[in-house]
Amino acid sequence: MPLNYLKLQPQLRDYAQKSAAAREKTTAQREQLLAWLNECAGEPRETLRQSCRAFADERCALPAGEVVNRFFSSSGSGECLLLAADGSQIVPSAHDAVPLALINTSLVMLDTASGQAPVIRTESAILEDFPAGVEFELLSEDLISLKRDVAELDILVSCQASHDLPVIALRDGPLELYHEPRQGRQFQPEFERYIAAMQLLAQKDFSLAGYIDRSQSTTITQMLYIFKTGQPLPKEQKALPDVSLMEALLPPGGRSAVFEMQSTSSKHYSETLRVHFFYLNVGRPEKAYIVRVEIPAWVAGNPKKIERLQNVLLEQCRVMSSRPYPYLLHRAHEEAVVHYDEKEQLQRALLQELQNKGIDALQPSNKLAAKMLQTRTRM
Amino acid sequence: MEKIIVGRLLRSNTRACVVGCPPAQQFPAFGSLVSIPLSETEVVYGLIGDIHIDDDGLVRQLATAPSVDEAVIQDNRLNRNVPVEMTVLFVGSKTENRISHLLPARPPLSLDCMYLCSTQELCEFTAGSRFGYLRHILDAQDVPAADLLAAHLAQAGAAQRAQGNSAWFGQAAARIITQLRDDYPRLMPILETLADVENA
Repeated sequence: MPLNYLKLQPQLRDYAQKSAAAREKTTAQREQLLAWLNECAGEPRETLRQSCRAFADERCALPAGEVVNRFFSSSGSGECLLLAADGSQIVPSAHDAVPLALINTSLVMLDTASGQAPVIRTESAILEDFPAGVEFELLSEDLISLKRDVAELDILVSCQASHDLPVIALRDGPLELYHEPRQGRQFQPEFERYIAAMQLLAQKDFSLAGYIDRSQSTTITQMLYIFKTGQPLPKEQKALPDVSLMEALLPPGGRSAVFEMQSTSSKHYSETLRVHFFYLNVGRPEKAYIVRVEIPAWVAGNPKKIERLQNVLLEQCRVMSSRPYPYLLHRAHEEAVVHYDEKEQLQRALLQELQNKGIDALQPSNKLAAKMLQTRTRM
Repeated sequence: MEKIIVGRLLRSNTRACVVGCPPAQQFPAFGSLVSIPLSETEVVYGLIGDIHIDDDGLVRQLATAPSVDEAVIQDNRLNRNVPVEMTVLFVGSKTENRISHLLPARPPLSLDCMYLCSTQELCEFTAGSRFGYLRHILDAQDVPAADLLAAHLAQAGAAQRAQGNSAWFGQAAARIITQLRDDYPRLMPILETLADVENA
C-alpha cells in the first residue's frame, strides 16, 4: 500500500515547526555550555577528573591534560603509511534457504607521499557454528557485529609496514565497544580478541584511530553538568551533543583538546589501551562539520602522533571536496561492502555445495517466497 | 614474438562483443583490428568500435575538488571502475588460414582472450581488393560508423602503404562510395571524415 500522504502532510508541517523551536532552544543551551566550558578551563585537571570519577558509571569525558576550551590548528603535512580498514557482514535470516553468516573485511594501504595507487586487500570468511544443523542455528546480529569489529582490527594488525614511515591505522566507528563486554560463551572470547588486537597494534606502534561521523556522544556535555551542578544530567533529560558545542569552538581544521573516555567498560581496557578522543572540524569557514576521533592512550600520550593524525585526516577529508570524509575510509567501505546480489550469488553457490553433500530441499520460507513473487507485468 | 593479451571477453553476440581490460594496461586505440582465437585453427576478427570509461558518484564528487592528488587519480584508474570496456564489432574470421569477411559462425565465449593484430595481420586481413567487411561497419548500430571507418582506413591505409600498396586507401574509399551511392545523407558525412584522414 502506498503511504497516506493526506494524513502525512500536516504531520510533516508539525515536525518542521517543532524542529525549528528545538533549534532555538539548542542555541541557548549551547551558549550556556560554552560559558561553563570556559569556566571549567580554569579548574585544576585533577579536581575535574575526581568530580567526574565520583560517577564512574556515567559516560563522561575526563580532561587528559590539554586545556579543555583550547583548540589546536593543523600544521604541516601528514606523511605516513595510512591504513584504512572496514568490514561488512551478512546477517543470517531464518527465512533464507540457507541462513548464511559472513564477514567481509578490507584493508586499503596508502603511502601518502608516493603518488601511487593504494594497495587493497580483502578477507572474506563464512561464520560457522551450527551444532543443531545449518538451518536452525542462527548467529545473532550483535555477535556478528562484534566479530566484524575484531576482524577489522585483525586485518590492521596483519599489515607489515615495509618502510620507516610512521603508520596510521584508521577504522570507521568508535574504538570503544561501549556495548561490550556482553556476557556469554560467545561474546567474552571475541572481546578478548579485540583487546589482544589493540595490544598488538600498540606493540607495532601503529597510530590507531576510530573516525566517527555524526557522533551523538554527549560526554563533554555530561562532564560540564557534573562540574557545574555536582550531578550528572538526569537520564530523562536530553543532553546537547558534544558536536553541537564544538561547532561554536573549533575553526576549520582545528581540533579540540584530547579527553579520556569514562564509561562502564573503561575498566576492561588497560592503561595503554584506554580510549581517548578529540573533536575535529573538517568543514569549511562557512559550514563547520565536526567529527569525533577516538584514539587509544598510546596515541593520546604522544603529541606528534596526534598532530600527524589531525593533518592526515584533514588531507583525506579535503580529497572528498564538498562532503568531507576520509577518502581512504570510503575506499575501504567500497571494498568491504557486500551487496544484496552478491549475497544471493553466494547463497546459490552454497546451496549447490550442500546439494552435492546430499543436503537437499532447502527452501526459503513461504513468507519470503511470497514477498519475492513477481510484480505485476504488462503484456 | 609472443602476443600480448589486451583484454578478455565479457559478453558477446553474433555481431559484436564487449571486452574488458585493466585500465593500467595500454588498451588498443579506437578502430584497431583485434583478434579473438576460438580454437587453434579458428580466429575471429573485430574492430574496436567504442571504449567506455564509466563514472560514478565518487568520481563526480572528486571532480569538483580544486585539486586531485595523484594517488587518488591512480586509485580511481587502477583499483576502481575496472575493467575498461571495449565494444568490438566483428568483421570477419579466419579458419584453417583462410580469411573470410563473413560474421563468425559462433561468437567467442566468456573470458576468451583478445589480442591486438600486428601490422602484418592487418595487411593480411585487408589484403587484395576485397572490402566486404566494410559493410559490417556501415551497418553497425550504436557506434560512430563514420569515425570508425575513418580510424580503420587510416590505420589500414598506413599499414598497406608501408607494404608498398599506396592505392589501397583510394580503393577502399571507392568501395564505400559504391556501396552508399543511393544513400546520399549517409555518404556525405563519411566522405567528409575520409577527407580529414587523407589531409592528416
